[in-house]
Amino acid sequence: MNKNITVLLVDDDADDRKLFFEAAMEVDATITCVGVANGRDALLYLKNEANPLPEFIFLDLRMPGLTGQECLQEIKKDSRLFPVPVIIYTTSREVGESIRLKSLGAAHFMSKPTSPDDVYYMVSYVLGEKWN
Amino acid sequence: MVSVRCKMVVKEELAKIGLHYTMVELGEAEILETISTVQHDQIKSALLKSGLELLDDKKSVLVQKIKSLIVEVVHHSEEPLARKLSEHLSQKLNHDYTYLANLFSEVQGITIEKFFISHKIERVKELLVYNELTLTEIAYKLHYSSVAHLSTQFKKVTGLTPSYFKELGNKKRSMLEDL
Repeated sequence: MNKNITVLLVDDDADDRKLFFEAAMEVDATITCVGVANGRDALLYLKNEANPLPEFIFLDLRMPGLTGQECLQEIKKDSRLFPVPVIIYTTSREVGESIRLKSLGAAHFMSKPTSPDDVYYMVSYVLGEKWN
Repeated sequence: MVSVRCKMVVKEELAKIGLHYTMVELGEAEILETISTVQHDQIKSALLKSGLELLDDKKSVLVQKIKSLIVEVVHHSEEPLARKLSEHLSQKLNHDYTYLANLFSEVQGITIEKFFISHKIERVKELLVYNELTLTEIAYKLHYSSVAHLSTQFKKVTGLTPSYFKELGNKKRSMLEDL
């Protein structure tokens, strides 16, 4: 990566957050990983202008309270947050859901892999692409 | 079936069996006649002799097309892709990327991303061996966002740093020159 980037992961599963952050750090040890457990906390973090705007938002779908889809819609309503690529990071493998979320503004739909090795390759691929 | 040679082999073998095609393309061929079981087996064994495999179920054909497109992008394109790989595959194959990714993992046992990155690293190895480009130039050519990203990925896949890999190649070469 050209500069130190910040990644926000919104996922209620602590194990999945850990797995993701380990993979992200392996891709680039200078990445700043911020994790929150639900959509509400994600919006609080993102709307606080004192926080650095992340280069990527990885968003789980099935979370208590505000769902991933609702969180995505809120992000896309905000002109400051709108350009940040939102990558859906979910256990879902449903094609219909992938198409729907991309039509709502998601940049990419990633089905969570089960092995740490595959998480590395997915994260490495996503962080290596230009999404804007 | 990436190269012209592969297409030629398919055309030649079909002609030998007496079959006529309307199209021989990336991973697929359209045959005018209805193929008998005997002809099917003849095509299969003829292609196998040339190192090609006959795939006749739709899922395997689609997976083969994904692999061919990735190989084409990584090994046979001078310019980096103007769009993301996921978009490229999706538009070329007319399927949502999630469908392609699920299918690929199910049939191949590895993810598209791993397949793609492994091929990129193979290409990096090839370019390092040619010794014509610096690592920075290789990183640019293969669309890496930085040399650091390339180096970390290289180490993850091969277990070696790019410079150590290059050094090993140079040592081998100098040993050969000493013979």
